[in-house]
This record gives sequence, C-alpha cells and structure tokens, in this order.
Amino acid sequence: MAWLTWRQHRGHAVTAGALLVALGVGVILCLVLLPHLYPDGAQRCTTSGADQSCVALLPQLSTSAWSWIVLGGLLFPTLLGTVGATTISREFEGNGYLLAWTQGVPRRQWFLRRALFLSCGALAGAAVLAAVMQGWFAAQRGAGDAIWGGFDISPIVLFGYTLFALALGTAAGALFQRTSPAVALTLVSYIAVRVTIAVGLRTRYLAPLQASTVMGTNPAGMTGSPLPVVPAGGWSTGSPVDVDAAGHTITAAVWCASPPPVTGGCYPAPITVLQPYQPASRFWLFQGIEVAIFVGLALALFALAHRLVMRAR
Amino acid sequence: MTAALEATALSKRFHRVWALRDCSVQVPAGHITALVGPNGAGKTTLLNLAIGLLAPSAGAIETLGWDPQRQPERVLERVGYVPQERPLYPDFTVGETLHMGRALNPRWDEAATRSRLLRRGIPVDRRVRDLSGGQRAQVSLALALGKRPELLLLDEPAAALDPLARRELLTELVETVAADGTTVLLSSHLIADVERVCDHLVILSQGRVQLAGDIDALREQHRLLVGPRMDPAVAAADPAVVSARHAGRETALLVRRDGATPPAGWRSEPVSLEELVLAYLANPAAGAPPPPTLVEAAS
Repeated sequence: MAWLTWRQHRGHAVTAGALLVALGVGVILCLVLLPHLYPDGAQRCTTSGADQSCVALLPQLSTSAWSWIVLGGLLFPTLLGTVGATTISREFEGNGYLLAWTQGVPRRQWFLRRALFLSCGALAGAAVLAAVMQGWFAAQRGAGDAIWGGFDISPIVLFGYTLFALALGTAAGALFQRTSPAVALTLVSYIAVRVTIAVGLRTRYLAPLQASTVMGTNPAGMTGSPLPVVPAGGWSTGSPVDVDAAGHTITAAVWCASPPPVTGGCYPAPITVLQPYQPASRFWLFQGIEVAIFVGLALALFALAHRLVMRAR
Repeated sequence: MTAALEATALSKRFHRVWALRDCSVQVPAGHITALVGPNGAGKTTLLNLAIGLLAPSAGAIETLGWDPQRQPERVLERVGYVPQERPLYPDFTVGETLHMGRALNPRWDEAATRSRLLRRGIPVDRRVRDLSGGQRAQVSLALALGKRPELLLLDEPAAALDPLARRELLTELVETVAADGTTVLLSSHLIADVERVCDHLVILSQGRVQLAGDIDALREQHRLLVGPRMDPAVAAADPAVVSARHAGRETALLVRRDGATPPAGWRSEPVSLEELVLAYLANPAAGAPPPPTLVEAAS
C-alpha cells in the first residue's frame, strides 16, 4: 500500500517538494548569502551610501522573503487539500476502484493505510515548511514583529491546517466521486472554515483580559476617550469599551469637563476605558487549542470519508 | 459437489430496481461455469456481490465458504476478478502494475506472471495506456491469475477482442484451470465461447436464476420435438414446454424431458447448447420460480 500510495501521488509529492525547496532556497539565499555579499550589512548601506544597489536590495529581499513565507504557509495546506480531493475521486473516475478493491487488501485497510501514508507525507512536508519558517523567524528576531500577527503561519497550527485540508479533500472526493467538484468544494470550504475560526472563534478560546485607563478629568478641549495601553505582545481583540464608576457600559461616550454638567449626555467622572486583549503569554496555549480543533475536525472528516468509501457502490 | 460460490435467496436492489431477486445458485468447484443472460439480467451484479464490491440487500452469498462482507481479506486474496471494464491504471507501466499486484496480494506469483506476459509478447516497460485492447485484457487476466486464485471471476472476458486475441485468452484460461484446478465463473454473450470452454451453465434472467447445471446433463434433460402444427395456446400452457416455434404446418417445441415419450407422429431430436440457451432467453418465464400468489404476498 505504501508503494501504491507513493506511486499514485508522486506527482503531488514532486510539486510539494519543489515548492518547499524553492521556498527554502529562497529564504537561505536571503538570509545567508546577503550578509556575505554585503559584509558590512545595513550599516554600510545606511552610513556610506556608496552602494546604492545594497540600499535598494536589502529591505526589498527581506520583504519578499516574508511574503513568500506567508504565501507558502497559506498555500501549502490547500495543496494537500487537492491531494486529498484526488486520492479517492480519481479511483471512481477511471474505474480504478474495481481494480483497487478487488486485490488482496480489503477496502477498509486500503482506505486506512492510504489515509495514514498521506497524512504522514503531509505532516513531513509541513515539518519542512515549519523549519524554513522558524529559520526565518529566528534570523529576524528582534525586528519587533507582533507575535500574534504570525498566528496563522506558526508551525504548530500549520500541522493542524495541513491535516485538516487533507481530510477535507479526502471526504469531498469520497462524497462526489469526481475530482473537479471535490477540489472546488475543498478549497471553498477550507477557506470558509479557516476564516470562520480565525475571525469568529479564536478570540473566545479564553475570556480576554482587560487593559484599563481611568480618567478622572477631561483635559481641556479633548473629545473621545484615550485608549488604554495593552501590554507588550498583547492582541487587542475588540473595540475599547467605556464604563462609568458603577461599571455600566457607556454607549456614546462623551467626555465631559469635571465637574460634569448634568445635561448633554455627560457622565460623571471617573470613566474607565476597557480594552479587551489576549496577552502574549497565551499565544502557545491558543496555538494548542486551535491545532486541537483542526486535528479533531480532520479526524471527523477522515471518519466520514471512511464511511463513504465503505458504502460506495 | 462442493460449491466455490453459493448464493441463497440473494437479492440486490439499486434504489427501486431489483438487479437480483431471490437468486439461489451454486457454482461447483474445479469447473468452468458460464453465466449467461440478456443485458441487465444481473450478471455483473452477481459477480460484484461474489467479490464483495457490493453488499446484498437480502439473502446471503458465500464465496469459497466465506462471507465477502464479513471476511473480505479471506475472499479477496483467493479470488481473481477481471471486470468488464478491465480497469488498469493507464499511467502505470506493465511492470508497475505487476509491482502493485505483488504489493497487494499475499499469494502473488511473480515468476509465473512475468513469464505469462513474456509469452504473449507484452513489454514490461510499456505504459498501460500504450497497450492494445487485447494486450490490456491479457494484463488484466495476468494480474488476476497472479493472485493464484482459487476462484476466477471473469465479466465478459472476450468482449471487444478480435477473434485471435479471444482464442488466445480462452486458451490461456483453459490451460491455467487445467493446471491449477481453479474454479472459473465467466459471464458471456458468446455461446460459441461458452461451448468451447465451459462445462457448467447458469442462465440468469431478470435477476433470477432460470436454469443451472452441468451443460451435458442439461442438454440430456431437454429435447427438440418436431411434429404437426398445434395450437400455440396449448403449447404455451404446457409447463414442460420451454419454447415453441410454429412455422408452416410444423411445430417445434423445446421441452424439458421428464421421462415421457413424445406423442405419436412427433420426431425427437437432441438440442444444441445454443438452442437451449436461446429457448430460455426467449422465454424469461420458463424455469423461473412462479410469481408469489396473493396469499404469499400478503403474509
């Protein structure tokens, strides 16, 4: 089965391998070669100004390496989704199931081993991609990037996304028994699920902490409320909320002079401005929660695909 | 008689259509059995049920003594199947196809399979998509035989082959069966092929078994009676009459011989296999179990 799975997917393996190698080589070139080409680095670029190509090239290369990494991190799981979408459906399109399911390996084993080998291949690919990304992150450390900003291309969740996309494709292929609709459904629903969870669910894994600023008086002429300072590395997960001294939410915050006039919709000072945020210390916990969700979804989808394969024809 | 395949009240329904209904039949071990019937009679369905590609809607099927759904590993490693579509992966080379056979089948016989393909002049490094139809059929058969099957299921093995390729395929089949004692069940429209290689016959019609048994014995059990023209209604009403032909002043009846001697003035002739098969195919009601009466249907 391992050989057959490899033989039927070696085209995909070559594509994924080429993508990873290109990405890895690109990142290595940017990170390793550049300091060798310009031993004085950014200092020479900025101070002497003698080498204009250096000035132009250095930040440009850094930016493009970053965008390639982001692109690779987003595209790699969809590539595996395509692999999943073809692995079952192709058997039905070419009558291959009549061949595959009448050999000495029973259908259940055929499916389970195929799913296992593809998962291992997908995770191995994701590991390479994660290593490339980590290499880049390590080299760029100190650049001041917000850690939460890279949540979606962090190595841990990458494994979950990849496995999920593979399982989603496999289930879609077993459902439609045709490749094109299976690929289409896989890509659309992969993006839909990722966006839904990233936008709608991720902020609620744990109740957010509140950064607050208490304002006793209104400096002269100021309108609106000042934002509280979220601790370094924190992730603001919503709009700031103004509450009065009793803890009631003030919907239309109008900041009045102190002492406040009774009319005009003013509220008595002090006003507290609350900013919900997730602290940097929760980053890896959130990664764990998110990867658990996607691995759980992947297992459910593999179970569905298994059921569909066992009932087919 | 030990049965390599035994169906008991086997039924298969696709949505609202019954492909097989109350089908009970035994395929004897060590023989070549022909499965004959019009298109849509349920031949492929029966073969797919035998290998476990389909699960029965009702009734039971035992292949080599095992239930193909409950013990697929036992059945699959001992049964070779060549579907009508002759499915092969077109982008595989012949060698890779053999590699797959070796990887998936514990009883695989690599040497015999390679020498079989060598004898037929099929290059191992050629891609399957570049083979001729006849060569593809040979590769399909070689793949099925490479499993060292105890039972070989062939769905229209000679269809779409030129006469020479057909003869080679059937020769290959007879040689193998003679050498290994493999049981073969093959579906075919070609009575000449059936006559040449098969010794047992199952006629399937409208999802039911119409006739089953040893071909020589079945021919013995039927006679062609030729005599003066008789009323077609009388002929049709006689349960022993399988088919009747009325031409000019003569009537020819293909009848089941139940020991009775033909009436005076009638000539009794032996039947050929083709006459026998055509008589049953022309009259789907003959030999089939009677339709359920109202009492049975109500119970």
